[in-house]
Amino acid sequence: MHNSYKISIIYFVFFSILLLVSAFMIFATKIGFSPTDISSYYLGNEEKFMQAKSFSGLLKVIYPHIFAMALFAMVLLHFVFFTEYKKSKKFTYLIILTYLTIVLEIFSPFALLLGAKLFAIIKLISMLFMFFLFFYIFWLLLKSILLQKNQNF
Amino acid sequence: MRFTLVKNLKKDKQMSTILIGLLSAILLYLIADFFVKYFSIGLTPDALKLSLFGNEEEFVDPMSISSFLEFWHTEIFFIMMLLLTLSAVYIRSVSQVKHYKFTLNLVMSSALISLVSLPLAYYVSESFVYLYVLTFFLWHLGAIKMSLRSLLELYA
Repeated sequence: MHNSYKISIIYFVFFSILLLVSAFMIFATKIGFSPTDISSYYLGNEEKFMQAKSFSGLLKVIYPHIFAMALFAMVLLHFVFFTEYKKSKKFTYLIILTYLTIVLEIFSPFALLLGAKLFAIIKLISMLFMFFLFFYIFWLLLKSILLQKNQNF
Repeated sequence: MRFTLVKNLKKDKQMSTILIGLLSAILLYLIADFFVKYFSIGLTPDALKLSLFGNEEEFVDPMSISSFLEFWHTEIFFIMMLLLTLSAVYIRSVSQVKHYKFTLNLVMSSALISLVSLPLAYYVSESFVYLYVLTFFLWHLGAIKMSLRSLLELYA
């Protein structure tokens, strides 16, 4: 791989951090970080004058994220192929875990609407875990580019 | 990105045609973005301030926090994907040009600063709109230059 791709990847990581910060801020502003807040946001809350979300309304928000989050994860994870972690089992687990948490994060509100209240907690945990995994991938990439020499970058 | 593995892009007619198509679309997107921003949030500091903070005298409502965050979030995603793709083509097609790293760093860093200055303008101080407008033009013009340069290299 061309050496100058390092520049693009470093910037991509910074853009990604910004993307996660904005997602975190949207979550904090619109929903909140407790299972009760999440239930109230999706199922409605009379005391807070919040209406329950409809399936079509939820689908409208979720559908662009299905492709966008998978694309984002694919781009980010494929950069790890240029690091020393490409053949490790850890990387395989990382790929599986990342996609599993994305699926849980995206689709748990539907389960919540269907009455499975436990999914309010699952939504919260999967979102926080997904953030953790993305930051871990950022760390792997930056460590490989900035701290170690003789990589395929 | 298969094109990153092609040794000589100019000799690979199919791949260079694909990239010319992609670069033309990127170029059109960048030009269209000027118009979209001009008609939506504004491209002058005053117009941008009006969109973000509203004006009681003119009965213009400020942008709500959730609208602002959604706009910002979408912008980050589009810009990062666009610049990643463009920079990959640019590096591959014009790697022999001496100062290409300068252009690449300028475009990437100004795009990053423009995205950071937007919430700073909204939450911290409205004077950051000047930084946003400056870096917006800087990264757009730099990205247009990158697209044109790559197109020229692929045509030549």
